[in-house]
Amino acid sequence: MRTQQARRGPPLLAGGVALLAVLFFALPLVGMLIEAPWDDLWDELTAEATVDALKLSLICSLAATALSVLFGVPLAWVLARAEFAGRRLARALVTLPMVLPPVVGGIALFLAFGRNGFIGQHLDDWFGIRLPFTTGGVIIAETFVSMPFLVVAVEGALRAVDTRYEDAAASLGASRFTVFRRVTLPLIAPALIAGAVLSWARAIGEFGATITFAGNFVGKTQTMPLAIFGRFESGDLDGTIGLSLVLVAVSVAVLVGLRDRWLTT
Amino acid sequence: MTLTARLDVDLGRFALRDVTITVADGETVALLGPNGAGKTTALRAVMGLVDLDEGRVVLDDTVLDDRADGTWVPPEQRRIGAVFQHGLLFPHLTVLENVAFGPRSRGVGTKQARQAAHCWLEELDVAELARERPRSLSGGQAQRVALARALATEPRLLVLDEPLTALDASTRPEVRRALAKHLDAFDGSALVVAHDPIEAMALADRIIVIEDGGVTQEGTPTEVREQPKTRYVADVAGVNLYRGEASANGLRLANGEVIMSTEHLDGPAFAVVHPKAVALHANQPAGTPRNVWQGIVCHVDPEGDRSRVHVDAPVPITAEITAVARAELALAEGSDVWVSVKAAEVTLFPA
Repeated sequence: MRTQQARRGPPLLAGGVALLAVLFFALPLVGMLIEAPWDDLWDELTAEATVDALKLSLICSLAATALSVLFGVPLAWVLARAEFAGRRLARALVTLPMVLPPVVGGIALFLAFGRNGFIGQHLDDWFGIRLPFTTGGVIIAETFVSMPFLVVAVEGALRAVDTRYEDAAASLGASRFTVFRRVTLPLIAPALIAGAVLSWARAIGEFGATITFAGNFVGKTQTMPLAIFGRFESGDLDGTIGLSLVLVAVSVAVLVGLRDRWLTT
Repeated sequence: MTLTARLDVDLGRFALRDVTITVADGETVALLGPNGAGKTTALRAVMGLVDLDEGRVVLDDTVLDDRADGTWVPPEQRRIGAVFQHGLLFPHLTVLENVAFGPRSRGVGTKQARQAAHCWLEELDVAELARERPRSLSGGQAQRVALARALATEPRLLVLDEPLTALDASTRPEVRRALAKHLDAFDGSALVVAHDPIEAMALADRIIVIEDGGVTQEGTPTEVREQPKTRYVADVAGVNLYRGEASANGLRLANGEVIMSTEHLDGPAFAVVHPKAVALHANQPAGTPRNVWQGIVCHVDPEGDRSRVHVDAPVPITAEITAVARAELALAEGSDVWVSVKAAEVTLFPA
């Protein structure tokens, strides 16, 4: 009898602990829904500052994702396929932003690309490009922290691809670029999409690197997380919750959109 | 279209040493050898997918690879069509798009490429699969589509890497027949890697045996079968092979003799008898239902502690016996001898 009971479900202790863990994830969201200023929510969300912050967040995070794909895919290809001295060092550098505290990343970006930074001063002198405290700076900061997620996902997929498909394509007369475009890319598409979504999620939530490198200017560099923190600090709890719910809604929408890929086991 | 290749490849754990492969115009050559001998590496070197350390690959008048002067033509410009072991159809493309891939890569317009692909699918009797995805095909269908895909590029040389190995035994003869038919119809040259000697013999005009990175024997299927030069060739390829019509009793040869088998097939077939399964006797053996013939020893090849004895009987046959047995029977060229083969030792394959 005892063994039969054990087989019916997870052990009591594990089930209990798991329930606690689920509540740990669920309760904060419930708290947010309870405290939400439902009556004033619409006004809160349509306020100009909110709309600006949301627009800026979407533009910057999508631009950062696009840059991550544009630069990250070739980078992942080189890391996965090319043999060269210093490849391990290159991979370590690429993944560093995943573990580096974002504030530190922001400081590092500031020291390099800031107006007096060793690269930034030349960008300013030669091209008139100023990154710090501009929307461009937000995009750079978000790309810096989010591209590693894409590179790691795509590099793993490229290593897993059966390269004999690429050999077959070459024997059929496809140039290396055609092989990549028509065979390799479709084969790694699921990983590329997953990596892009991960890096987008990382970019839209970016706070530390953005605020240190790009500052906190309404309409220019104040993205949603910065706006939320600003309201929280100034004691505007209703505004804080309202903006937070917007980000919750965006995140849930993405999860639902990807349910076939991620939420099924 | 003639291929001449001399290949030296060093992959570290394993190397090809001075492997020379020639394929004459219209000829089909099989590379036969044990697993890990280097057959596939040789094929990949000819295709330009593996770098040569030494050597030269020439197709017709075009030098594709020459280590001496640094000539190297990349794989996509070699015009070598390939059929791989598992077909390797692109999983994300339909059957039709797979076959159209080659023409499209060579600059043919989408519509024309699809039309050409359709023709090739019809040629291989798989036109009804055009809209399918590769994962829904059987192994035999996948190999036909893979052959159509390779032929659609109008290659100068066709290479096939163990095209039948991944198939289950029941579909193999059918696909082998289709391959043989299209290799005959194909006016270019073909190079087939085979692990199974029967496949090599059924498909090829000439066999090159590769063992441990080097060529150990080369010749027509008959030569390789009758005069195996190494232990490996003797074991796997040095078999007695007969072609005839199979029926309930066994295989009827053109001269009217019947080889009895416990296996049952109908129609054109091969019978394979391993020389080790052939028993020799000084006198007529007592008769259980088996194959018994009287003959004359025409040749004895000693090989280590064993000898291959070629017997001229109504069914010409080669026996492999120990030195002790040979001494006991006092066999020499011209001696009379009785041959017996158990019906259970006769394996039949559809031709």
